Amino acid sequence: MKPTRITNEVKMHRQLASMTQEDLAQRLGVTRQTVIAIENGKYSPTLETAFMMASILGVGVEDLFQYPSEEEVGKND
Amino acid sequence: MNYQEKTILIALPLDFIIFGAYGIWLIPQLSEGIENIDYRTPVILALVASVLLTIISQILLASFDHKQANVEDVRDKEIRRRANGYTLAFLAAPYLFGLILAIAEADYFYIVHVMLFGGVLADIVTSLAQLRFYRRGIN
Repeated sequence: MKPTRITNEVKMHRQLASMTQEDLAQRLGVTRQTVIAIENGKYSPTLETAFMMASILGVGVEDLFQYPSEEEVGKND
Repeated sequence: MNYQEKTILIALPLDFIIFGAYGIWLIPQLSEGIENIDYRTPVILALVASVLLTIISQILLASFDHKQANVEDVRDKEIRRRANGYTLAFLAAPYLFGLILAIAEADYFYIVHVMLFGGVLADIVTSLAQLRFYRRGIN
């Protein structure tokens, strides 16, 4: 499986918004398993789903998803 | 586990059972020569059984899990799309081999079985790929 460098803060922002995985899944029109996969970093959502998620949680997409630069990755290695 | 994953987990063993049973019936007869094997009816029965049992199992699953029945979201579609790449790759080889056998005027027995087991293998590989994507994730 191709590793991804995308990390996310979906779980934190969902909990701050007092939403369950089921609530968020219903609003997004996906299954709860898909929300779980996104939170666990096992699925990178489509751009549209990412924007919808940000809109529902009232934050910016960059608050939900991060993509570390080459330098940041190098520092962590 | 989501609904699509359950449908795969039900359909996959059916492939092994039905075509495994056909293989068990076929293999001991090979030593007697292929011209003596009446494979047509068992092949058709295996294909019909595969389709019917898959439909019946899907209906039963939908009746037990009717809230999630036939729900397919973007992740399911992406997983299906990626797994279909394996289907095409695994179907291409038996298709070409079957074509070569037909051009070479090989016995129908070989052509039928290359196509049959090629199709079954492609189906199994596709299902396993989908399960792997569900478990390991896709990025």
